[in-house]
Amino acid sequence: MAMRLPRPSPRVWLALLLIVLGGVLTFIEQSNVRTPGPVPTDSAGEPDFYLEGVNLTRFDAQGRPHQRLATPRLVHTPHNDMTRAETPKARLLDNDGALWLASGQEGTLGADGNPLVLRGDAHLESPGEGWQLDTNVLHIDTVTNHAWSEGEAHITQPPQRMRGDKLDVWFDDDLMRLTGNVHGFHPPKEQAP
Amino acid sequence: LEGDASAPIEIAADRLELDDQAGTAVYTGDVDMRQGSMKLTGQQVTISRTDQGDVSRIEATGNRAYIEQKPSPDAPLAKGWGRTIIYHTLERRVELINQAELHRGQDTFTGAKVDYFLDRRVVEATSNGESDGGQDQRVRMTLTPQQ
Repeated sequence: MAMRLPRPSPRVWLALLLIVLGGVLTFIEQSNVRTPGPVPTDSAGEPDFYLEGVNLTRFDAQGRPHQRLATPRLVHTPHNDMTRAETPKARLLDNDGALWLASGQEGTLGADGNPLVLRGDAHLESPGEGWQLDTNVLHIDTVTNHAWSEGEAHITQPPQRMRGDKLDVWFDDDLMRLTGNVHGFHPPKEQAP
Repeated sequence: LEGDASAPIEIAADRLELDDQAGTAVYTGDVDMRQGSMKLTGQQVTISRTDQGDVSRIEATGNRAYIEQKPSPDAPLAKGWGRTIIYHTLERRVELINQAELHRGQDTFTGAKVDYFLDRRVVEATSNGESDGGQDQRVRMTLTPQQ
C-alpha cells in the first residue's frame, strides 16, 4: 500500500503565497536604497556637509539669476569656509547679459562663494561670440567678473587661434588679454580648417 | 607673391589684447607678423576684422615700423619704413606714414606719406604730412635706369 502525503489545505497555500510575495517586495525595496558616497576626509579637512546633484543659483541686485553652478557633488569644509565641487559647470551673465560658460575637472569656491577656481582642463567660452579659452587653472572673480589664468592659455575663435603664457578676461568689457610669448594665427575665413 | 593675400597671418609678440566690442586684436611688444612673403614688424600691430570676420586692416606703429614683401619670384624684396604702416588687405595697398621710405629694387621713395599698391606695384608719394619735430618730409625719389 503506497504512503500518500496529506494534500496541503488552501490556508497553507495562501500562507506560502504571502511569504513569497513579502520576499519579492523586500528584494525590490533593498535594491532602490542608494548608499551615500564615502565621507571625504582628505587633506582639505573634515567637511561639515556635502551635497549631491547640486544646482546653485545666485541672483544679482536686480533679482536676475546671473550666476549658476551645477555639480554632481559638493563638499564644504568649515575650517577654511571652502566649498569644493566635482566637475563643476558654471553659467555666468556679464553686465550686457551675454552668457559665459565655464567648466573644469574640479572647482573650489572661496569664502562666501568667491573666487571660483577651476582646476584641470579649465574651459571658458562665450557661445554668442564663439570665443573658447582653455588653460589648466582658471580663477574667476564672480564679483568683478574678471577671470585669469596662472599659466599657459589658448584662445580660439575659429578660424583664428592664439596662445600666451598668461590669460586675463574682463567679461563686462568684452576684453581678453594674453601676456608673454604670444603667438597668433589668423587665416582668411575661407581657409578655415 | 601671388599667394600672399590668401596665406594665413602668423604673428608673435609680448602681449595681445582682444577687444570684442571693437573687433580688434592688438599685439604689442616686438611684434613680428608674417603673411606669405610679407613681413611686418613694429612695437604695436592692430588687426581689424570686418563683421564677417575677414581681416580688413593691419596697422603697425613703431620707431620705425617695417614692412617687406616679394612682388614676384624673380623680383627683389620691396622694403618700406614709416612711423605708421597701414596695410589695407582687401585693397592690397600699403600706406607708409611719417618718415615714410620705400625701396623697390634700385628705386627709393621718401616723403611724409608713401602709398604702395602691391598688385599693380604703383607708388604714390606725398609731402604734406605734419612732420613731427620739424623734420623735412618732402618727396624724394631716386629712380635707377634699367641697365
